[in-house]
Amino acid sequence: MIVILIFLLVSLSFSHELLEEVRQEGNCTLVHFYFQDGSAFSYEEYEVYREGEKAPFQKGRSDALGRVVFCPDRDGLWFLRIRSQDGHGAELRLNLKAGKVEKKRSKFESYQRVLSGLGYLLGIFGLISLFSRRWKR
Amino acid sequence: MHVPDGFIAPQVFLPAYGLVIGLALYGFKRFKENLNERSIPYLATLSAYAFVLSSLSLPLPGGTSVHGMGFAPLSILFGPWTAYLCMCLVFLLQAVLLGHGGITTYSVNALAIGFVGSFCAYGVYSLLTKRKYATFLSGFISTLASALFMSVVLGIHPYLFTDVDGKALYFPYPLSITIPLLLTSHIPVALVEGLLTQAIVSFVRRRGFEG
Repeated sequence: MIVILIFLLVSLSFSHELLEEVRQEGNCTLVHFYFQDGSAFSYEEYEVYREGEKAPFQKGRSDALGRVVFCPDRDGLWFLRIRSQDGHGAELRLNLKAGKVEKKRSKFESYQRVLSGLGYLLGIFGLISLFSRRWKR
Repeated sequence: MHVPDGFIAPQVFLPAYGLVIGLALYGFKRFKENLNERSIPYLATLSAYAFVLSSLSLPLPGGTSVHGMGFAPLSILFGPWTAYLCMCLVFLLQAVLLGHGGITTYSVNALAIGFVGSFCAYGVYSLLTKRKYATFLSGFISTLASALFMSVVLGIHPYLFTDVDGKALYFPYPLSITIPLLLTSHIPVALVEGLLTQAIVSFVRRRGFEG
């Protein structure tokens, strides 16, 4: 009962899961970091790296709307790391080919993944229940 | 509080993996010895509760968010080793399916929340067991203990891991920022956690289950 009640709160509380949307704007890549309720991951420190390089290609802070824009000079793998002071953030691997990249996560996907997690969890305890008799012998 | 990939140095998360696996193997031995078939449905339900609770976040002013953890009822009712094992499973599923916390940082998340949290919850409850608010305080204090442990792990990174220019290689904010920030932001979570722990433990005991 309690689990069901808490689960009903998910619709409210997923509003602060950090999500990102990546799209190409001309020659530049725009990554928008936001929470599910639309509030922005703004003014947080980020760094962009080319594959295999230790020095950042670009660094700064996300803008007021939680956006990071960088203009890559070549195709391939790029890394974007963004973080807040309390340990929130994300590290993205962006595969840029001929100026194309598209990545967006939907709210439905979040529900789907939590439900699958619960399914796996209950399934594992089902297996433990089966094995418990053998362990007790 | 789940730390994403890239924030923790390999010098920290690799030994932590060894520790997490070693503790889990020992915990599993204890779990098998003490296993009671009647407790499995309760364990499954409380693990599901921990999974859902730590998957959802409480928005805070300033654009950040925090989440509950749900280990305290498991620890009080089934003991810290069982709670630790359940939380290891919960975090593994969250890292793989939800992207909450990374694969590399799984070990630190499991230690900070699963181990420190579960043992602190059990310790506080055992110390105050005759007091009226033992269950609430167990949830409250253990949540803050987990946050403190995580803030120390994050905050020591800029002192230990820098490049030749002195720039932080991993998490860049020092202890003077992480400790006050994580502790303050987790006070509302700890209050909610304490209340939920009290409600769940009383509910389960009212049904005649003592763990």
